[in-house]
Amino acid sequence: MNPADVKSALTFNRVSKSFAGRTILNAVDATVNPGEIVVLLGRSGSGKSTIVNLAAGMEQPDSGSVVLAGHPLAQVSERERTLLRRRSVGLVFQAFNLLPELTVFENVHLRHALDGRDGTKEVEAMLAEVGLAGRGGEHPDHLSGGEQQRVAVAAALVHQPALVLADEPTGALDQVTAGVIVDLLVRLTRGRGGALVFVTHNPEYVAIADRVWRLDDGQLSQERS
Amino acid sequence: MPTEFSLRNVLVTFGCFCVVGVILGGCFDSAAQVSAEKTGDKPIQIGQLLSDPLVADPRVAGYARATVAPTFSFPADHGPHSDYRTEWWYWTGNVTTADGRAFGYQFTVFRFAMAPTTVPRASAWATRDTWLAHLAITDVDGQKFYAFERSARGAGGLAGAQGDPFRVHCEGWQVSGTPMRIQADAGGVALDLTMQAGKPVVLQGDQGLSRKGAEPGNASLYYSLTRMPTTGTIRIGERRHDVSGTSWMDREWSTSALEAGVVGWDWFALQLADGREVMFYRLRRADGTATNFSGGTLIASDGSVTRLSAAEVTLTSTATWTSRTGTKYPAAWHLRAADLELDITPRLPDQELDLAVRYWEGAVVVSGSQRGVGYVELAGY
Amino acid sequence: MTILATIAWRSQRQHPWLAALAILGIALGVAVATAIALANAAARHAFAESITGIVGNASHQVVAGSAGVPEGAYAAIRAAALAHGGAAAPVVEAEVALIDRPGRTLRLFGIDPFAEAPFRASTSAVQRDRAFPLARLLTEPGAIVVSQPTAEALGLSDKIRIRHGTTIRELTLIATVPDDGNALNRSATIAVCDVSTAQEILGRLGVLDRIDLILPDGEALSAVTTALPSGAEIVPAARRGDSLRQLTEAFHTNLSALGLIALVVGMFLIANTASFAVVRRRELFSRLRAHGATPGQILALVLGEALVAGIFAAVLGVALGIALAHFLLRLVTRTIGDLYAVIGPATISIDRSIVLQGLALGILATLLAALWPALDAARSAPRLGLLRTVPERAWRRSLPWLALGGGGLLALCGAVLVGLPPTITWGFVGLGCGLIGAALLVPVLLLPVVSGLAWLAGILALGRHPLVTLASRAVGANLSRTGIAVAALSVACAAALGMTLMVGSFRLALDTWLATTLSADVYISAPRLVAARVGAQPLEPTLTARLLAVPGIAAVLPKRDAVVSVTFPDGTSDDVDMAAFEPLPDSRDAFVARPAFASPAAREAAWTAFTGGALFVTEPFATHRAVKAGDHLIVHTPTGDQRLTIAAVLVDYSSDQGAVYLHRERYRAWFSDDGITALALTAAPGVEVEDLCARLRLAAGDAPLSITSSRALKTASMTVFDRTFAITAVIRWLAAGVAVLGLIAALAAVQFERARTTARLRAAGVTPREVIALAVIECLFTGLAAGLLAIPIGVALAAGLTHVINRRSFGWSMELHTDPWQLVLTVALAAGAAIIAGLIPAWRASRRPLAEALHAD
Repeated sequence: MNPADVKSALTFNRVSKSFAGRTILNAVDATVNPGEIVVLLGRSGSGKSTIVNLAAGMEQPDSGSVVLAGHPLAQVSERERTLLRRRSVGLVFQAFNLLPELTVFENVHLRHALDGRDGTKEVEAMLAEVGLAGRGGEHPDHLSGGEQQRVAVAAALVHQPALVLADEPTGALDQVTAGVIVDLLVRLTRGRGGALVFVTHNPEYVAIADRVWRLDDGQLSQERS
Repeated sequence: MPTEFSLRNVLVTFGCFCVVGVILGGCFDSAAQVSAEKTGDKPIQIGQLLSDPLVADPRVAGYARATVAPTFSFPADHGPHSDYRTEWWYWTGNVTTADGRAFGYQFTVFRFAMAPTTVPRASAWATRDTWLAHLAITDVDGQKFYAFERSARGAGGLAGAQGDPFRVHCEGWQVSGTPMRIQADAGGVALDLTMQAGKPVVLQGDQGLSRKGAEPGNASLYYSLTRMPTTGTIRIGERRHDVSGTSWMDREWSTSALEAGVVGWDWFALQLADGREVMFYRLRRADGTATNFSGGTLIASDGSVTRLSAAEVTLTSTATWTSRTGTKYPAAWHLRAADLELDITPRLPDQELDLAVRYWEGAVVVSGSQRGVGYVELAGY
Repeated sequence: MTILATIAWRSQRQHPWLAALAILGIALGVAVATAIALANAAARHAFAESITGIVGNASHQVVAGSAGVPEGAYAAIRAAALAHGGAAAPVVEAEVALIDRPGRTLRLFGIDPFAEAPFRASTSAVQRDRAFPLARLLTEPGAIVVSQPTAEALGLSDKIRIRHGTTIRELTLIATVPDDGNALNRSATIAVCDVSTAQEILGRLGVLDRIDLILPDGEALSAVTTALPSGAEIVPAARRGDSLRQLTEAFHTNLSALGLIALVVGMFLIANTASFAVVRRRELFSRLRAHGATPGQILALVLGEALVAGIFAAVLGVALGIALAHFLLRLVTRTIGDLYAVIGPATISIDRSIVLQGLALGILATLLAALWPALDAARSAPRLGLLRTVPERAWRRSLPWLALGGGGLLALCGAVLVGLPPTITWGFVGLGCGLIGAALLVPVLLLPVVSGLAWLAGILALGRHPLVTLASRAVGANLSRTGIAVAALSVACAAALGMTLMVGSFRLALDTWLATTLSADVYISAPRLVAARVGAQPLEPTLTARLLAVPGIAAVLPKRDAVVSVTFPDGTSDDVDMAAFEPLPDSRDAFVARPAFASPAAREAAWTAFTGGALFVTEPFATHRAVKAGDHLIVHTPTGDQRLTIAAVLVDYSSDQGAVYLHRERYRAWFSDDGITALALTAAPGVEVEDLCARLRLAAGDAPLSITSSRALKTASMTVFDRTFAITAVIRWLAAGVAVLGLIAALAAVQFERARTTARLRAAGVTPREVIALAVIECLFTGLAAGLLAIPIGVALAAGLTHVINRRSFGWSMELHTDPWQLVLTVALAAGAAIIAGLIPAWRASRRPLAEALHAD
């Protein structure tokens, strides 16, 4: 194992992945350092979501290895991958982030609850930070899209993950609201010392990046911001 | 899961009362109820049964009453007298083996009528008589006393009696023929004894009418064969003993006998070495005193009979014995009558028949002015 | 875990009626199984008490069939028993009808009180009651004693009029004995009397029905054996009533199996609901997985739901079962009373073990049914976002496995039926394998069948309609949601069809048999206590003479029904029913041999042998006693043992106990018995049968006689038959009801889930009426497919029930008659149920405001 990997939040070593004969990723090498903000740019269908799924251990590469917070995902069991995802990763998606069965509070509290930990204070603090203090009892259905996404940001960050994966988190939002969400994501991730991989097709967001990845035709090219 | 059966109730009732119940149901219903209250679960005692004022029971009506002495005729009168409610055949005896080993025995058959008249019935099992038999053997040297009982309906060849040829039997036990032969076995012991008539029939009381109370009809018809030379075998377990000796037969039948207040009796049948016999019974009240209708007979060696009134006999109990059942019986007596001064001692203290009906009946030896042997019956203790 | 429970609860709450239907379905299954278990237990209990409870402590019994043991032998037998430390007691007993309580009976039990103690008395204390009027019991003609509960239950007064055979007598109740506090006592209706009374009332003068014995050792046994009179034999007491008990056991086993069918259908239902609940929430599980829920946590969530539903369903089911048991018990006891023996009134007692079994069955069945969907849910891939087609694909991937499993179970079914011992239980195991195997194949076959239907619809020129195309596609697409429900419906319909066909075949066979057998015009016998059994109580000779003097009788066929003691080729002995008669030469055609006589000459030879003293036995007799034509039976008669050949096995549906037939001349000679228990009369030419019946009734006067025309007798027989199968009808409708509930739940769920698709269709301009039409067509396809698939399964099941279960249980063989009308009805039932199931949600979907529907998740 490369000692450098231990320090990285996420490392891809020659990761390849194809679907139905179409190569999505071709021997991709990439690293996200702790506390670093990476913006992943690519067109629709370029394989951005595949990178997120691989990073979160929700899919396995055809070849190569993914190392998440020092743990090579291919070498641990499904259960350990799941626990790693629960404790070290935060996820924000364009939509369908939240469980309609649960209240705002319960959604944010979910990872603590699954772990059998009491995270009430953290959840309440987090809700206050995203500007939803006192609204924990409401159901996500009754919130606006922006509010829902704020809940999603809170849920993704409440457990102080090493890595936050945001997949087009602003895709369904108007520009003003989108700005608020991106600010929140950046501020909260930085505040907690986590790394952020921000997936988008919108080049405007390069502004927030420490580093920019471009995904094109299965190849990942990197550039400093 | 217990699934008790309602029938069981009925049959438990039957089972427990197949002996007691027959007696009670047949003759002494009211006595039974009284005694049940008094005694709880204890067996019925003969004295209590017989002491009840039966005259008050309307069901006595319809039975013959012993009011005058009939003309006895034998062997017909050895047979049953179905007109009367109660009847028994009683044999007791003292026998010894050639080498002097002594035994006493008692063999009794009771008949109880359950109804005064016979309703015509189609079934051969129908009967109005129930029969009860007791078998007791006293093994004097072995210090053991054996007692058994059997009961049956007077039908189906299970129990019954007839005069000529003579036979009385109950559940396989029987006395039959001339001379009479007793055959009975139970629980590993057996009797097989043949008894010659010996001396002539003794008609007890007034020519066979033995009055037991002031009321006319409170009497029994009663005769005895007082000295019956006896030979045969007694089996105890695997051992068979050839024995000889003398037996005593009592025959008595009645419809009602005892007066109110009588709780039991003591009965003595003694065979003396000089060829005489003494029979004496004392009817006891609850306080232990005897009624005036106690009495007996003294039979000379030639068979002539002298009646003994209550006043002519002095009977004193000189010892007591308490049985396993907690019943306290007199256990030795001094009897004075005519020229006789007799000391009477049980051959074994424990000769209590702890059966459905509980009483003491046992072999005794006589000493004093005459030596002899005999049997004593103690009822109502 | 609380968060998972919260999620489960809230997600189920969105469709509360779905959960409710599932719970109701499994509850009904549990209810039927529990009710049958309770009713069986109660009936068995009452039966056991009536038949064998009064054996008491006896180790052996001396019996001599209905001829009875000569009473003269008793004293010697008792003496022999007593001499060896044993005991003996006489018994004369019979069931008698209570005239003032129509339909109720009393078992008159005549005993000798002097001999009873060792047998039916415990030493425990009823010594309380010393006033027991034993003298009256012994000396009063007609005196009886009953227990207090019996007296109360039957409302007995002091004077009780009873009927035994054609005789009416009056009994006197002289005492009641108290209840010992055990409520179960109430189920026995026994009157104890003296043996003399029993002999007189029951016309058993000179004989005893049996002598109970307690024999401590073989020495006692041989001593008693030497005292036996001719025709009597000594049998172990425990064996008495065994054969009768075994026969009713077959009946109870059949009922239990029926109950299990309902439960299995219920299991399909819960599996379907659980499976649907998983499919419906696939996204939820994927999101939970993405947020870090482990597969174990998802499994726990789904199984936890099932557990809660199972507990609810089990409790509800047991409660329903107890209520249903009271209803079923009436049917069960009536059937036993019709077919086997008079039993006392049975009462349901809430047996804790049966209740626990019911609860366990419900919960375990639910967990088992939910296990596969739960595992499926646990395998959900972690994902955020929307996915649809993957689960359908997964389901289709599992089709080959289902086909393999179903085929394997079908093969197992064949192996069990052919290879294992031919017991009823194995028969049911085999059929159960077959049924479940078929159920697994239903989803596999569903798609081709639906395609076929769509193709058919195309031929009928409807197929061009886009709605029909859409509907047939939807059925295939929704297979993962509906497959199990359709299988459940198919199985339930098949079970109902199979039983219906079996009962129908049976009915037809019986009907045909009655038509040929009831060749005389009028049948006379004493009224029966047990419809399917003729009492051995002979008619009074003077009464017979009076009847035969009636003008208009062309021919008389007297019959003597008796119970005789028989020793079988294997050396065992038992009492068996015997019918002694002398068939008219032209009525021989009514007797059909099975296997059939090889030639007319063989048939003639069999009849010649019969006239000469050979036996015929009925088919059930041959089955249960494992004998065949050519075997020998030893029949014990008062004039000595007779070793008789079985000349033929005859088809006979009159009794599942079976019987032996003997020529009446031989019976009269061997049993010294001229008694007649039944008369068959032929009317003279020109005499109306009903007129003859009327004249015979007039001649009979007050005598209680059953004088029946052959037509009325046939009707009565069919009535008993229909009553017998009433309980199976009840159960199969319950099973079908469970299945319909399941289908409604499944199809309705699909329709609700498709609300968004429906909304899109409506947005594209499809009218509400067309939305409903689409749902109806889709459900119709599903229902038709289920119904069509039920037909081969049902026919196969009917064949199994007819040729395996019926034959093993009762020994009857018959042709399977496939009534086409029943097949049509089955398909119609399935399609109808499906349409009803689809209609409600479709109607609701069509009425939902479009905007709301479009945006609903």
